[in-house]
Amino acid sequence: MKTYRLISTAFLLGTVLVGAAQAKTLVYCSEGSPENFTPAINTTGTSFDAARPVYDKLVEFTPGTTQTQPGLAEKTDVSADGLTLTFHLRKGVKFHSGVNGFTPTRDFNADDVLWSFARQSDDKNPWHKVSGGSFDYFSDMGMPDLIDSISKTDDNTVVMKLKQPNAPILANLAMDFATIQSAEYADFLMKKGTPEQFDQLPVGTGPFSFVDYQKDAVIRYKANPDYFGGKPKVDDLVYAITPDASARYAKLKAGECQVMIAPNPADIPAMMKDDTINLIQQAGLNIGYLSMNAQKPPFDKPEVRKAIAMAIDRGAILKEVYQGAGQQAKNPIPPTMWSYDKDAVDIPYDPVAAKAALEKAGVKDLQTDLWWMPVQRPYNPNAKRMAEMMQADLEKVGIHAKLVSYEWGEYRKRAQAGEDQMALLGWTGDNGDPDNFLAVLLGCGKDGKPNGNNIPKWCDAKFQDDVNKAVTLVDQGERTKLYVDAQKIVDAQVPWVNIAHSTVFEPVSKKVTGYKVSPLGSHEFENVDVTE
Amino acid sequence: MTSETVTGEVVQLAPPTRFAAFWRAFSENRGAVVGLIVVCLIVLSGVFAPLLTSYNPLEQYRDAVKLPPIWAEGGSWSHVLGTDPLGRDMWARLIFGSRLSIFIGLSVMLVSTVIGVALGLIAARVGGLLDTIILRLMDLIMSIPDLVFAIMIIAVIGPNLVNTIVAITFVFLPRYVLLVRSAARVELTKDYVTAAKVSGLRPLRLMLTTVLPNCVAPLMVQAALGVSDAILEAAGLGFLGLGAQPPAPEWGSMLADARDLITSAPWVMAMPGLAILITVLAINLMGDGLRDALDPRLRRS
Amino acid sequence: MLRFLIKRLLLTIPTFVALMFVTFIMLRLVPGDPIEVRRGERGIDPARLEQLRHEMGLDQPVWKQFLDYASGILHGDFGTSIVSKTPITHEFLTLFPATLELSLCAGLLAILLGVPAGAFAAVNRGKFFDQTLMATALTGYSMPIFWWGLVLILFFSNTLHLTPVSGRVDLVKFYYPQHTGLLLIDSLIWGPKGAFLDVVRHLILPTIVLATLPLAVVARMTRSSMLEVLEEDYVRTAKAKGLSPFRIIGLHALRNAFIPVITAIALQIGSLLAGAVQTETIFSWPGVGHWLISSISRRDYPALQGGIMLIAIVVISVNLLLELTLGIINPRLRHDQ
Repeated sequence: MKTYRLISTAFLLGTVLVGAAQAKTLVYCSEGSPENFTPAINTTGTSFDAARPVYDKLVEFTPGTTQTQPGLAEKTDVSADGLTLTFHLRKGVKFHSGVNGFTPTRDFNADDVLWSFARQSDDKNPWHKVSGGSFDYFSDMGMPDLIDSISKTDDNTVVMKLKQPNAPILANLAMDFATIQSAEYADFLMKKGTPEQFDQLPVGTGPFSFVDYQKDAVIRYKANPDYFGGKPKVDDLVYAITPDASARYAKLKAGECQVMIAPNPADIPAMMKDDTINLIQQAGLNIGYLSMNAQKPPFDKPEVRKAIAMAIDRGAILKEVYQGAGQQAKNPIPPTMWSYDKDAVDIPYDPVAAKAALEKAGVKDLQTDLWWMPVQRPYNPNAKRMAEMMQADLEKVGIHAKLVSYEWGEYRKRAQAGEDQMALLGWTGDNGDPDNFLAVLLGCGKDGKPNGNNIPKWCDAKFQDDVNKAVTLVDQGERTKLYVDAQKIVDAQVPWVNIAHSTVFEPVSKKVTGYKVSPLGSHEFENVDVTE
Repeated sequence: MTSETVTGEVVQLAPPTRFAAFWRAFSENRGAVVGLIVVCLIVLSGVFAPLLTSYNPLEQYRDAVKLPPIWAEGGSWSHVLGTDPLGRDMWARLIFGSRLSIFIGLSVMLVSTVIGVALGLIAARVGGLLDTIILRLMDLIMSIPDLVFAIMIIAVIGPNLVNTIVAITFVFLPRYVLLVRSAARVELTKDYVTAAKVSGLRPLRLMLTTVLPNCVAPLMVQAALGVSDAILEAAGLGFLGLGAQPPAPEWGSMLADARDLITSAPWVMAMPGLAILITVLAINLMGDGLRDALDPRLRRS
Repeated sequence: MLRFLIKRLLLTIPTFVALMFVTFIMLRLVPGDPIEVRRGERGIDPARLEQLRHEMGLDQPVWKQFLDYASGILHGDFGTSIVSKTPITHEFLTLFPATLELSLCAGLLAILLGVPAGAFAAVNRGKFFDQTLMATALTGYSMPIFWWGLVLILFFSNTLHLTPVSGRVDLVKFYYPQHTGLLLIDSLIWGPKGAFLDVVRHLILPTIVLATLPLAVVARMTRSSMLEVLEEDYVRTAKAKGLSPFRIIGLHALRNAFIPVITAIALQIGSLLAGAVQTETIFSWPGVGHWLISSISRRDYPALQGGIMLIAIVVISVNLLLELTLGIINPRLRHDQ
């Protein structure tokens, strides 16, 4: 409480000063409260979005793309064998001053990089356990097994040694978990005896510095005049936390915010007609699918799985569930990703042929379950509605599906354990690499057991060979060949029904310029301007 | 103990003239009669739903999605009240849905009356530690907002129709228990009970044949209100996705499904809510009439 | 009086312990792991899961966890939220003022409108006003409030653009220190020009929605207890004496009719908070009810446990306070356990 009051007083002073010079404010209607402000210990996009204005990474995604560009590392050298990465750090980068009573005494340097990774990798690090100590992305991306060592050669050079070559490593380091935080601020708080504030009151090098956060209401930032990429165009950045999509739309219309996340698909037509709104759309880097458990008969037969894919009217689903905001999927990876197999032939909607195929395979009056996720995701705006449509379609070919749902965590756990027969799920890419889809979602381990995220529990030796080989190669042409081959195997085997790649819509006020929608689902405001 | 014995005893003790008097008082109240008629209509429409529509409430007409009702622009006689986002006929879903709501309301009322009467009578008759324990338990249930408690229970036992009934019964229990307990305590001090005790009536028989019938009037009023409250609560749970599961046409979940259409197709949201309101209002009108007719103090002399 | 007070206080202790026990056990029975639930699409490595469970003490025997929890509460420590990693009491205290403000406004509206309306109806028993009022009250009493909220939003915000749809104040235009957390007070004292009006604008719809049920109950209750009082001998005597009707109703009848009304209001506190859960969900109101619902879906055990305990404390103490007030007004009630 005391710190809070301190901040608000500091901010008041700030507004008075800036107010005189006609401050430009950008308001973003966000979806929910962040868990906290340290991306490494979080897993949700909402939390990443809240921390992103404050921080930088060694490597950054170029806004609006999945390409990488230099961040805090001005230049990165990769050795010929792909095992050593040398980061040449930017000089003269300053951490924010004045947040939570902290004034940095030195510029950003190699110690901050080492500290940021050590907190995640070293369980003896005193900071490892602060705030629960769960570094999910770090372990999910296989970092503990991949990184051999990280060390500094001087204040501005960091060397990372890998245990084996890994093509997507640079893209991985552009992900939010690899955010660089201040070692000096950490020491400052440790001395003060309030280490938990580290994750609540963030200090970074980013384009905006943190001002104030009120749970379930608002987060405020102000422009960092010393930002190495130049001072952002707006002076104040505000996240207005608005969980309800209709309410966000109403606020956007009323001018209470200029950018909003996740519109209701049903409101899209009205937004298109609205003169004050710029409805930006971009193909999302995602896939929504209906998994069929290949370890449970009759779903072990590819012809049964294919018949089910034929029985489902995906065109109607695209229209009614996605409101047309997406693209019917024929491959397990989205078309905006390199190595996408353009020549693949989509499975047509043909309930008659599906019924015949099922009868031929001896499947008649099948009782099955069909799981639907209890949450709205970018790749599936309304799983319940989708499941109800599939249920009706399947009924017509003699499959009686019972709709089942669990609380979201439970749902994931049970689906990963393979308790389902059919389950709706999907995936949004993390780093723009095909490996992040194919190996993660359909891969199997060396023991021939499916990976946890392999929900269809489908394993194929040839597919596995392709994927395993491709990740160690550096040449994108060779990797593409392998991934196209892998996709052909998937398309023939139909481990899941590809439903759609959704389009991400971001309604933005016409006053806003320079805003780019990220295919990775993140929201960034450093290059955004507002005209009055 | 079943509910039949309860009502059986009432009839036995109530001479026909008393019922006639009750009916006269009840029918004087116009609101109550309207309520009764509407409730009957809703029940009948639920029972004879298949005769009132040619549509199956689960059938999806994909070429007629989000059709507005007949009086709105773009409405069509083929779907008089329009269709939902999956193209299912709204009228069919509403009348089939009334089965669910009435079923939930009656089940909750019956189960909580039976358990409430049992616990209330035990607490009043036995007294002492048992009474205190029962009272504290009821205090406990009442100290958590009922919806939050119901949600917690459903989180434990899983969302479906039966569990909705279980959860609501549980959170509504204190009303019945406390009502029966206090009514029974008053009765227990009266002379006729002492007389019956002296004449050697067994405790169980004493409670069931003499004390309980005298608590019936307030209990009936509470039961009527209990039905409507249960319907409201079930709709609230359905709205949060914790009631009957899809594709069941439960009114609360129909409302929740239509929430994203509030601007683009508001009628999909308006109708199930209206159905809930009308049903609950009708039952409450009836309950008010019942109370006025049963409570001699408020009856016009 | 003191003995009565002590007795009532002592009686709340077992309720409290039982409450602690019940919420604790129930949340352990809930399927879904608080660690799993945060994992989204990605799932978690089993070894890692074990390690995290160990760090959170979830691998301890349940009785040990309970004792730890209970001793924490005795020391005023309600635990730390799994999701935000901040103390529950801190989260509760930042969110509770929003719920308090909304509930107070709704309760006040219910009393200020409901009592005079009910009294007036009683005096004009059977006349047009009485019948209209009672019909309206019964409709309010039968209202599914989540639907009512949506309908009001549809008309007043989406169609007529008269009121904002969510939040407590336009945070962008009006930024000022929130010392009490009750924005009506804060904006009036410390807020810039226009802030107070904006707060009021935001409060209107949620207050109406939340007040609907208690308003109906209070109006009905006032009417029926007034009717009873008006039949009593002393009122008749007063009438016979030729006292003005205003004096009779205002001074004698209403005062005596007020006791059952206060009791009814006290009984409404619980349902007011339950209503707040729904109202806050519809209006994205940053309060405790909204927080509890999302804690359930996030399996944030500590937040749920702590939140429910704290709410129960509020309910129990408000009830106690009202009981004491009634005990002072009417000493007969004291012995009426």
